[in-house]
Amino acid sequence: MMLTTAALALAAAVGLQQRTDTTVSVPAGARLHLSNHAGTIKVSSWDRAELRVQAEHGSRDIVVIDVRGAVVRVRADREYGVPSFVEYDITVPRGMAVDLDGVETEMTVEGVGGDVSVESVEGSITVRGAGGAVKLNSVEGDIVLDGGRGRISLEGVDGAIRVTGARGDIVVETVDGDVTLEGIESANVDVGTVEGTITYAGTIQDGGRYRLTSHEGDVVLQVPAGLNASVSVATFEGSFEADPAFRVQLSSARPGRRFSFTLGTGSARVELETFEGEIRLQSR
Amino acid sequence: MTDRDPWTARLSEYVDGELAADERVELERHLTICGECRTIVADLGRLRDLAATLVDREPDRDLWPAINARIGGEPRVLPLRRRWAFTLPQLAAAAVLMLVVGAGGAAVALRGNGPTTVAGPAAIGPVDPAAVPIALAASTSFDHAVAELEQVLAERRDRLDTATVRVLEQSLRTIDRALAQARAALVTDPNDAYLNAHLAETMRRKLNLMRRAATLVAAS
Repeated sequence: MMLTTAALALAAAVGLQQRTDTTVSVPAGARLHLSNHAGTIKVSSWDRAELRVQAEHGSRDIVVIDVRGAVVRVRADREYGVPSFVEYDITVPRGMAVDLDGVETEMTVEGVGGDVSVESVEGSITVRGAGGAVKLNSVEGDIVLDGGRGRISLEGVDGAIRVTGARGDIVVETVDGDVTLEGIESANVDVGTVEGTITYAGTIQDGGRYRLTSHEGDVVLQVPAGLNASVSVATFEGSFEADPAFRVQLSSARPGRRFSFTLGTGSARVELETFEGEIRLQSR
Repeated sequence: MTDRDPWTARLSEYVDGELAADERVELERHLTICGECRTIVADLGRLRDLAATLVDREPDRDLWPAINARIGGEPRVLPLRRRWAFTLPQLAAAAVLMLVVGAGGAAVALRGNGPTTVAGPAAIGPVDPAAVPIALAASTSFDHAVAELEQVLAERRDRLDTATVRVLEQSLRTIDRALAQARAALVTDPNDAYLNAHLAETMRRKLNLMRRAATLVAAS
């Protein structure tokens, strides 16, 4: 395997901040791995087979760009210890896959056509216009995804998750956070949280599958009234209400913990569950 | 895996060696490009291997029909022989058992050398996942695995930022509260399909969070 390593030591002898700005050629189908303990990462794309790395970092840090075959690794090194704070501004070939991780790091990815994987412990994650599969994971920080055509997997712990305009399969799981999905055109949606409210606003496609589950939070489904779906509702101490536009026919006024009904042809399958929250079916 | 991947429903047949030769070749070609299907095949294989270590027994009571209805499975037809034809929702429920095994493994990995007791197939006991409620079957091993991971995390919590520890502990308390409520509800109605499935799901969430925490500790 051909090894090309560009170790960039541009630190000046004076000044607290140093700036790196380097562009390297990358092979088609390459994947970027970037790890940043603290700071920010911003990734955007362009129509060149080159990777541009701009970074603001401490004067004792060096930014290393390591190209091995189809894998490009970018990191900051320091002779002793971990670089304290680095702000990256990366430009990648439009189709490049991107893997980012950080601890105290805010990360933004825009217009990347390849797969995007981002992991953060403390810090928000924002991804816009991703063309491939998207996997975002944060412990303490909001996750925002705008667009997305591939498979989408979002996992949080404490923080809100917001998805808009996505079309791929969507799986979302968190513990202490609300989940909001708007303008969704997906045939496969699975969202779960323990203490948050789930709001789904989008289409229900024939033959699709939609599962929204919470423990303490509300579950809100905002969809066109003319949908074709078999709807399953389950709750222990919660409640259910539906807009009259749906003409939901229940066998009794208090139907119990679990019941189902059919809308239109019943083609799609919708499961709505919350242990003690409210389930609301709203027309839009 | 793409939307409505046509191979999804055939994976258990593949694992059981029941596909025709030409289908097997075609599926194996598909597996080279589909990570999701590879993952499912791996999970099914692990489940099959786990099942091979278990001994059949009649459950005290068969609650499976209620669970099966809850997770959208077809009515159970007693098989002529053991066969692991899971739908994806069933696989997700059965993953509670697998997570217990994985959680035990994570604890071992984090502890390094030295004797330790972990939840594993032997600890799970003689369970047929296709015949008893997942949540009830996994409960003891779940508690065991959680205790192991809690100990590991307690020993190494100083590796994490205090704010992160606080968030993780708060979220674990949130899940514990949900678990307690689900268990209390099950005491009043042990046969309720939704409550059994909800408890299983919440157990899975807790193990998942603890494994994430353990991974963070290991990476710190």
